[in-house]
Amino acid sequence: MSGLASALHLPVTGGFAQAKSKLDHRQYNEESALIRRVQKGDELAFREVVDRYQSKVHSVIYGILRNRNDAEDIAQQVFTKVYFSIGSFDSRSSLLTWIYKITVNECYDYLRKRRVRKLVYESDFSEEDTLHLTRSEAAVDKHPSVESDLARRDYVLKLLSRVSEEDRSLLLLKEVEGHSVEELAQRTGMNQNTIKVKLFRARQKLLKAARRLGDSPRSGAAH
Amino acid sequence: MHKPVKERLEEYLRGMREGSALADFHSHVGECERCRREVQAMEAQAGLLRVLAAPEEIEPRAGFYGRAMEAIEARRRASVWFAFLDPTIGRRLTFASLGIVLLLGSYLVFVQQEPSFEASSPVTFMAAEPASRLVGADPQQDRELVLVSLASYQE
Repeated sequence: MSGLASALHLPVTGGFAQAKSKLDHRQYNEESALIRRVQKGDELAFREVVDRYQSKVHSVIYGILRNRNDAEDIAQQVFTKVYFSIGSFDSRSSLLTWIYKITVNECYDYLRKRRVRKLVYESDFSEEDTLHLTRSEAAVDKHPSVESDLARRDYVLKLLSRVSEEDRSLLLLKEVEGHSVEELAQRTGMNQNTIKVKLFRARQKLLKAARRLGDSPRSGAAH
Repeated sequence: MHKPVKERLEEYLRGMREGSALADFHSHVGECERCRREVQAMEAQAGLLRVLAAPEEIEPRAGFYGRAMEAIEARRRASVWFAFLDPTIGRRLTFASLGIVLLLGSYLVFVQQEPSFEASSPVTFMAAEPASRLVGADPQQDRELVLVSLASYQE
């Protein structure tokens, strides 16, 4: 969506801007019509939404969790939530942005439940069992780059859990999805200055969280 | 972080390095160590966040829509309100509700019935249509009239 103009850092003016604006307007109208149909209970319209965004949703989940089976389960939960909540969707943000937020939140809910289940599960272990488990984990020959990737991912997820849902979505849309401030403003319905302020504050919160956790993934990932 | 840096931070983090828009940014960062350290920390942090990007676009397995609709139907069935649409449960609830309404209605009807008074009580007498109040025509009536007057007398 950023296109040639932003790649060359040229201001968007004249005919190009008008054409872009017409395209955006048409896309906006098309999306609004689709949303209205889904809100009225049109199953074909809902199918269209699923077909349009299922790959994106799966990719976002896989990026966070790195597990295809989990990606499918959580994607089902995402679209279930979309189905039951679309009646209250007010089109202030784009449909994709809204679905993206639901996806990220579902991932975090899943991670929270998994942590609780792990604690409950491990609380049933005897001291001997826990020791045995720790030793066997250490003995597994893990490739160093995979190990450090996992540690970095866990660390980032932990940092992001310290900010609000809105800040988390904004940061991921900016850094992971690669949207510009202008694109975020269009997608979220907020103005560009608001986006900049929110991003700046979110980044500061992350830095603060990182200082508390320990600045490196290794020191932060260890429980 | 100072204003010239804050204003252009997002462009810088996005990879913009040159251009007149960033002149003030670069000039300030060159002079202010605190802002420079903060920009470097945020740059490292932004790079770290990108570890959550999926290595490639993931295609769902065939039949995903069907499975998603099954999950939706399962949730709909589990929803409390759906219980009213279920024929067996709905019928029972309807009859139970009607029964309760009938009971309540009967109770209200009986409770709100007017109280019955004895024919010879002063209230009945005072409410009764005066047939002919000729004094002396009916000694019994006259006596009762006197009694009512005495009873209702207030100083």
